[in-house]
Amino acid sequence: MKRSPLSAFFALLLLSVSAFAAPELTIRHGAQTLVFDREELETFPQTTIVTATPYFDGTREFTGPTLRRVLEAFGLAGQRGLTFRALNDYQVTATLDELMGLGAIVATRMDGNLMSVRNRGPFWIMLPLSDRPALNNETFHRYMVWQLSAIELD
Amino acid sequence: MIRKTVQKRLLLRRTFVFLFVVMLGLVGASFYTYLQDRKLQSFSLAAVRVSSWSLAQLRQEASTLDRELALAAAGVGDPDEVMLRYDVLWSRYDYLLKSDESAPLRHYGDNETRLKALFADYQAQESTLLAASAAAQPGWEPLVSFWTGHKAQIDRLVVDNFIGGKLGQLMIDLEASRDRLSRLRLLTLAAIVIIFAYLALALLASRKQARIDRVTGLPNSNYLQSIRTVDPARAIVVCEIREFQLVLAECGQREVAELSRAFIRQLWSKLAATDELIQIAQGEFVILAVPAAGLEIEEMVGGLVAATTFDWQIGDAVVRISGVFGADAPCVGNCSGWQSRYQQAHRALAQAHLEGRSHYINGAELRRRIRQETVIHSGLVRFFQGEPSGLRLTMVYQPIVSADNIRHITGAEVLLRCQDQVIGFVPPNLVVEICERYGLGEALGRWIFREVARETGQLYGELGYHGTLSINLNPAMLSETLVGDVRALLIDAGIPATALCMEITEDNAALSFERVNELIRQLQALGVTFALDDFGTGHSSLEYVRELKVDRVKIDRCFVDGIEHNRDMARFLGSIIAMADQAYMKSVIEGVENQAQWDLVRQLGGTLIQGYHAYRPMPFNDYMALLLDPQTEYPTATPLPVSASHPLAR
Repeated sequence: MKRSPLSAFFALLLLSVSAFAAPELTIRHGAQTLVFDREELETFPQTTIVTATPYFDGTREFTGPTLRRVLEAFGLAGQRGLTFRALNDYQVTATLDELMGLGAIVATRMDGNLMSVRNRGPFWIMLPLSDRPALNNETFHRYMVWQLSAIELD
Repeated sequence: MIRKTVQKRLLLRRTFVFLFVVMLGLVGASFYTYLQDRKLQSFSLAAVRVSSWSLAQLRQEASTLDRELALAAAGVGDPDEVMLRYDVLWSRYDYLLKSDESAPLRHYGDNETRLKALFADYQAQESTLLAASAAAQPGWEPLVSFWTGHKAQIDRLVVDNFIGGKLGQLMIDLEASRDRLSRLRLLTLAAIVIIFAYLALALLASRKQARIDRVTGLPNSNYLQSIRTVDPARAIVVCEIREFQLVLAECGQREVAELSRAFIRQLWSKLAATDELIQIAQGEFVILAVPAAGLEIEEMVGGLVAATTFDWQIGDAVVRISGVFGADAPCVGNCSGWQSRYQQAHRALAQAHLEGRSHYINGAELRRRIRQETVIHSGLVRFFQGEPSGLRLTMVYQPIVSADNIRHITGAEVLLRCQDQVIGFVPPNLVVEICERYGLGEALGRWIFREVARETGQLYGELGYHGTLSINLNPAMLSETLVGDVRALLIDAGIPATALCMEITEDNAALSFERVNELIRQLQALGVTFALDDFGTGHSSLEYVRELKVDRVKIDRCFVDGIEHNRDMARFLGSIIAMADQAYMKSVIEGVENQAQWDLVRQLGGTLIQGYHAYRPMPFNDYMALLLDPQTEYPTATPLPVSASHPLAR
């Protein structure tokens, strides 16, 4: 197949934008953008949730900073809602009020191991379902976004 | 009639069976619905939603990979992006095959096998992909050709699951279940309506049932109590079977039921279909009826009386059955309420009993009489208690004279007079009757004794008069206390026992023959004499008269009336006098009102006469004055020559 100069340009453009070498979590609010990579997220205080999930048999251990800590690092100033975006184009919107009380973490590791995209990494919003059985239903399951790539505040 | 049949059917076994079948059908339908829907219960709608979501995501993620692959194949794609999309789809396969959430989807049909096969094929392409992306001149061809087939399989899996598969079937099942439930709801509703309707009707019927006498099928006293108003045009008639207790006592319940039915048939024969006949007790009925056109209430009740008088065969004997009727006439204009009219009808019945009549129709007259009797009764009570009273009793004296000499006064009968401020003159027999009825008889007797003694005491005591003093004894006075009363109130008060003559009627004597004879014996021992009053008018046989140990007979005025015109009557009077003579009884002939009668009586052998021709009843003062008249002769305690028999004149 013959490559046109135009397509070569597109390829270059895409390559520069995506940069998949290190998984990143982008947080945006209007024009303001902050990008965390995994190492940065792991420098935050880590919380571990041991819980059963609808996705696996038995319990798994998830580790990562709390969602609250991550958002506070970005700086919260009167935002009301947020949207989670995932690599698989899944997205879900929630109000901050609703979300902050759930004890959610941005998990970077499952059972101590980093998570590949195939294992629904690199980041996974995890709720303490076993500790708080009230959360163990569809209403809250939809916030447990895997392959998380971005959080947009508004 | 239709309503009656409906009511009857309500309580039939067939109706119960029908209701039972309805309930059974409902239970059956419920059970069937339960069985059908139990399968659906194992499906969680949440699982269905998650499954369909996962399938949609699978397709979405496959499309994204498809697009990236196409871009890459066109030479404009990014191998990393292809790799990312490959990984994302990988994670989807992994999720579908391993997660709990996806279990329902996996377990439907051959989904698991197909997914496993797809995933295995997909995983096998990893090396091809890596090779393709790593090459300097990426060769996407093999991957694209694999992918084209693979994507088609993914699409088919999704379509199969949505359209022909579990989800589609589930929707169909759910729809069927919903229809079943709605039918069941309808059925339940219908059954509930039927049962409620039945209960309501049954309740009404049972209430109606409670208002019907079980023996005769007539409305009963429960029904009577439910009556609030009665058309003023209707007469209210209360009636009793007079011989009911007799038949009940003789023959028992079955016979009286039969009798009741016969009696009711007779009543109905005189009533219209629109009239009401209510049985208020055994042998007691209430009739609400409009007198037939042109018929007065009297005629209507008369008809009922005639119809209900019949012979009733009990075994070998025949009993004459009759009814006693009390009626409140239809009212015009100012009409009292049903309750009060019903009471009036009962009063009329009581009046009929009192007067021994077959019927009594209540009207203004009865009401007035009842009111009057109430006034008299309360007046008497106050009078006897010595309280101020509108009513006054006095005594008058009617001289009894010798047939030979109209001026020869042998004594007097004391008669009662009653005057009421409001009513005026009250007939003495009514006073006696009321006293007897309300238990004032003895009080009346004692008052008479005292009053007579008070008035005549001096006459007998100091003045030595010895004419007879005839006092009527009413039934209540014929008691054990009579002897004591006569002694204490009359004899001890100065009336010589030998001057006292107690008058009793045949009928009163016959009430308790033995006791009366005993009283007569005891008083005669004191010297008191007895007279049989109203002789010949009573209902007792001559045998009683013979056995009663009286000293005198007073021959009633009915045997005197007309003797001057009719020789047979005169002869008959003569034989009565003769009969009394034969029995050693003196006869007093009452009601002699003219000279012709007087002469005849004298001829017939009468010795003592009491009547208007001689003297009318008079107050004591007039009686005294009469005795003081020099021309008057009378007996004295110590017999004096007739010419000098005037101690009072001294």
